[in-house]
Amino acid sequence: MRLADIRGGKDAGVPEDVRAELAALDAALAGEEVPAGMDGLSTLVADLRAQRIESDQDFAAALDNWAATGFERGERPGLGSGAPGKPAGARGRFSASGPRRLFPVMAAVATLAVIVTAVTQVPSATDDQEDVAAPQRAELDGSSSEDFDRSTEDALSNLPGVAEDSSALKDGRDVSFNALRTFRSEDRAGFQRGQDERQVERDAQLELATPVGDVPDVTNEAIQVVESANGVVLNSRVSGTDKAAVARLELEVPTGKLDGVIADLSDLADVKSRTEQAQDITQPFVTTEDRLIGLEAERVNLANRIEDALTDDEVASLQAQLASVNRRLAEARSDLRRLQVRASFSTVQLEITSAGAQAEEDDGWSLGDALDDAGKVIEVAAGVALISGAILVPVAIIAAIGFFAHGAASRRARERALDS
Amino acid sequence: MNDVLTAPASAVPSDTEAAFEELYRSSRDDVLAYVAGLLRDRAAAEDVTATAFERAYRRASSFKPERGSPRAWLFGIARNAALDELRRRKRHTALSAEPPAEAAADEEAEVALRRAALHRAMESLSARERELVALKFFAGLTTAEIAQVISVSEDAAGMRVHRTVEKLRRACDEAG
Repeated sequence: MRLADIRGGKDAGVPEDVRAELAALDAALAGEEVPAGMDGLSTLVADLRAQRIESDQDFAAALDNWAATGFERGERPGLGSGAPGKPAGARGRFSASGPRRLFPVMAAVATLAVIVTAVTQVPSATDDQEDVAAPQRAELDGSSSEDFDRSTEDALSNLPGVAEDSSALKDGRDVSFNALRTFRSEDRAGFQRGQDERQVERDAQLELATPVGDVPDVTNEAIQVVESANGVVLNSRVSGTDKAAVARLELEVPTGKLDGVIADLSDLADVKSRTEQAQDITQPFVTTEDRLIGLEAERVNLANRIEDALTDDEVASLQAQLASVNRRLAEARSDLRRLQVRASFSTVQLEITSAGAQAEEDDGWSLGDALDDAGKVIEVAAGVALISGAILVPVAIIAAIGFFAHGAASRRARERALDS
Repeated sequence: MNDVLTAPASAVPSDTEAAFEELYRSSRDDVLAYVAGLLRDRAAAEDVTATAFERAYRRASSFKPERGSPRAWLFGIARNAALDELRRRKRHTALSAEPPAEAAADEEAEVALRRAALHRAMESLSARERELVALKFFAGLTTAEIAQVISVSEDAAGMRVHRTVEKLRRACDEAG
C-alpha cells in the first residue's frame, strides 16, 4: 500500500483494502465468517479477545447492587480494592470533589461583590448638596462683658512684651499701649485665641413652594427646625385665602448651624429660590478689639495716677478724663458685642408660598403622579440594569473564556496521559 | 435502547432510567474490559468503571442524541475517567502490566505460544494504540463509535485501527 493511498488525497478517504479489513474485523468480532484470504484476522481477533480482562462475580455483584441504589454516594462499595468495604486508593479522587463544586458558588459570590462595589462607588448624579464655602469660626461662648473685662485684665497682666516694665506692671503703673501692640503681633495667646480666625457675617434667603393647604403646616415645621437648632423666630407673618397663601418669617440661627438649617428647611417643600451672602467683618472686629484694649489700658493708667495725685485739682482733672474713657470703653464694648452677634448669628429670610406649587388633589395622588412614579421606577431599573450589564458582560466574557480555556486545558492534559 | 435514550426531553425520567439500565447491563463488562486494557490494572479498572457509570448516571438526562450513540457517550465518560487515573498513577506509581493470562489447560501449545507473542507485542504498543485495541477488540465498539470516543473523524479512526493491527501482526510475525 502506498503512503499516498494511506494518507489519501483530499477526497480519497480510507483506501478500499483498509475498508475491507475493517469490515472483516467487525465480522470476526461478531462471530461471523470473514472473507476468504482474511482468516488471519479471525485468529488475531480470537487471540486478542483472549487478552480481555473479564468481570469477576464479586465486582459484578457489587456494582450491580450499587447501580440498583441509583449510585447513591453513601452506598458506594469498596470497589477495586480487592477487599470488601475497603475504599480503593482512587475512590477519593473520583468521588464528587467538594472544592470543584464550590467553584460556581465562589464565582457567583465574587461577581456579586464586584457589582455591589461598583454600584455603591458610582457618584450620585442627583446630589443636591451645595458646597457653600462659608468660613466658620468658633462659636462664641456667650461670655458676658464682665467676663470679657476679667479676661482682658488677666491677659494684660501676662504680657511678655513688657518684661522691662514688669515691676511697674505689678504695681499697676504705666501700662504701655505700645507693649500691648507688640504682644498682639508676637504672641497670640489667652483671649487672643478664637480671634485668629476670620469673622464672617452670613445671611440667607429661602423661598419654598407648597400647596395652599400645606402653608400653615410647613410654617410650623420650619419654626420647629429653627428652634431645634437653638435659633429664634424674630418675626413671622402668615396671610392667605383658599386659593393662595404666603408666610414670611425672619429667623436667626447660630452661624455654625446655618447650613444644616438651610438643608432642613429645603426638605420641607419645593425650593423656588435660595441665596446666601457672606461678609467678612474681620477688619472692623480687630479694629474694635484694639480700641477696647487701648481704652482698658488708659483706664488702668488713669486710675493709678488718681491714687498718686497730690492736689484736689489734679484728682478732679484725672477723674474727668477717667469718666470720658469709661464712656468710650462702654461704646467700644457695645460695638464689639454687636460685631460678635453679627458673626455668631445668621439671619434667614424664609418665604413659604403657594404660588407655583403643584395643584393639590383630593386624594393626593393622580394619574399624572402615577405616570411620574412609574417613569422614575423605570428610570431607576434601567440604570441598575445598565450598570449591572456593564459589569456582568465583561465578567461573563472572562468567565466563559476561563471555562473554555479550562476545558481545553483539561482535554489536553488527558490526551497527554496517553503520550508515554 | 437507542430509541428510548433518544426520547424527547419531555419524556418522564423513568424512560431515561430504563434506558440507562439497559445501557448499563449491555456495557458493564465491555467498559471494564476497555478500562482494564488501558490501565492494565484490574483493581484500578474496577474503581474507574464504577466511577464512570456513576458519572454517566448523573448526566443521563443531559445526553443529546445528535452527538452520537449512547454507547459512544458512555465510553467517552469512561475514557476521561481512565485518563484521569492514568495521569494520577503516572505521578505516583509506575504502571505494572497485568501478567499474561494463564493458558487454558486445553489450549494447544501453538496457540499458547502465539498468544504469548501477542501479549509481548501488546507491550510494545503505545498507550494510544493500546487504547484502540481495547476499544475495538475488548469493548467491541464500531469504527464510528471509536471515532466519537476519541474525537476524530471516522476515516481517521479507521486508519488508526488499521495501523495498530498491522503493527501487531508485524510484531507477532517477528516473534514467530
